[in-house]
Amino acid sequence: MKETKQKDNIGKYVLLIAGAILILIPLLVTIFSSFKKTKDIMENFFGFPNPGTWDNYARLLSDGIGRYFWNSTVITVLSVLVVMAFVPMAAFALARKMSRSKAFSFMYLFLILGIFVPFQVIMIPITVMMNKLGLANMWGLIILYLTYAIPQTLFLYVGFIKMNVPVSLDEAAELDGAGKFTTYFKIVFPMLKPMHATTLIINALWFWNDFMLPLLILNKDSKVWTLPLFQYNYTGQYFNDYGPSFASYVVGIITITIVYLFFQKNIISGMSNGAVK
Amino acid sequence: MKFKAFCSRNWAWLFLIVPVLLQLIFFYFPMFQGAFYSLTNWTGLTYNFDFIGLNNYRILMSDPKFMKAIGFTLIITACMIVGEIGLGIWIARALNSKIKGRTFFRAWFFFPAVLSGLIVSLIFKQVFNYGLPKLGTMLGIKALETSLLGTTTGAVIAVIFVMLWQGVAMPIIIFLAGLQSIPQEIIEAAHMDGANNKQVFWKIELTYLLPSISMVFIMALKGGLTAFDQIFALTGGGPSDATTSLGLLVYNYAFKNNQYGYANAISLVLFVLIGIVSLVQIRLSRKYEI
Repeated sequence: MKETKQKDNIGKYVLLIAGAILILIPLLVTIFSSFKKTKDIMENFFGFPNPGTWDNYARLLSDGIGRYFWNSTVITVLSVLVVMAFVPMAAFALARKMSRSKAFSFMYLFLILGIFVPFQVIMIPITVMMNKLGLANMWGLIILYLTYAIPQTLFLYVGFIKMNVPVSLDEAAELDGAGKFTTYFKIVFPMLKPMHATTLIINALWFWNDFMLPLLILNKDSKVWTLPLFQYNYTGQYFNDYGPSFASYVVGIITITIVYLFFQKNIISGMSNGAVK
Repeated sequence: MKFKAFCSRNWAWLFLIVPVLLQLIFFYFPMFQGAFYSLTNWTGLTYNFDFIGLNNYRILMSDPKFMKAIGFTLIITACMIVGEIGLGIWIARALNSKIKGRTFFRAWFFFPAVLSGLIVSLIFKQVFNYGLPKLGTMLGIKALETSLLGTTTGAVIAVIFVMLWQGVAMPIIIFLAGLQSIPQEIIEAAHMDGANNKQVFWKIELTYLLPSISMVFIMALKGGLTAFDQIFALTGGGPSDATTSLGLLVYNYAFKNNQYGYANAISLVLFVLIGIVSLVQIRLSRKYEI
């Protein structure tokens, strides 16, 4: 009995270690390559940098990666903030009204239907429309992120409010003379903290990593590119010279890694909560 | 005073107004526009177009590019579903047992999920182009001596590999949560009654995992059918359109060939495809849920 258990465990270790190495190799290659000269990358792809060099990073800086990093940061932060300003509020109204009113339960369906629609369906019309409206810029992108984050985020908030924020709380606040606005801002909003963490994480990761919307909306003007858009174009531009592109991937990965190290538990639970989508 | 009374009477609508307007303008309007354009021959370059009824859909049926893309998309979708569920449960079970370094492994296996699909693909592109051939030559494996991305079969395998490399991270965590929700007494009781590990897995664990499987199924399905970023960066759809997914085909027809109307027709087919399979799946999982 004990022996089979041990054998079983060895099998599990082999699986987990093999998997872990498979995840590690491409990341390690990226970090090594970012310190190599192009010739070294070609001849010695999997090895240590020999000799190591900071040139790729220097080149990346002089090619203006700072600007793209900044663009991505601003877009991600502002988008997350507007989502948080508008969506929980709407979720609160729906959670309170939809069980008693047909109009509001229709509104709920109206707002979450987007979960089921693949983005390709609106991709072309929205690109044309944003160009026509003069919104093919950072502000337009933020509006679109808010819009497309609504269905899933709202769904999560409504569920949470129904489960965890009892109506009696509103009533108690109203007895004390608070209106709905005060009740929401002073009492309900702070109670949604766990859900704020979840939605903040899933949305921020999406906005930060997203490639498609920036490609459609921002590709024309290289000054407003986001980091992924820059990384993609940079790779194409230096197709004979891989060092700087590898350095640009490292910049993207390191940022995410730092965030991941700090908020690992929240991120894992947040993203799996959000996966109901 | 009147304004205040109005606000407090209609508070719920005021709370809702911004999201509703945004959805109306930036989601529903373009969606119906897309459906409408799919019935026209609009090029996207001028404002003129003719209404051509269902003609786009008719052309679609005999478009070899579309057929190829549907074939490839279904293959990767099937591989994603099987791979994410199979590998996901396999690894989650290993993580769920009493082994050293569980917390570390859990965090490490989830890590690919937070990376951008674009960067992952750009990295793997270099690995396939410059790393693997070196390894192939060293080990004397003929198939690997040239870049995987150069041959049609190789490129398909490469795309599936990269999408699974990243795509399996989330299912692992979902299945792990599912496994941890199984009451320990049930498994102990089964063992007492003489059930072996295999029986416990097929009869008990799997039943409890059904909701998670159904969730991962939908995720993988949607991810596979709409795949874009990773393929765009890894192969660009090539060689000779072997890895052009439906998502990529819509993009190419619209923004490279300027066939906006036609591209919209393809995207609507994609919509219907996702709709049907999700509905069937939701029905089925309701039937078998515990």
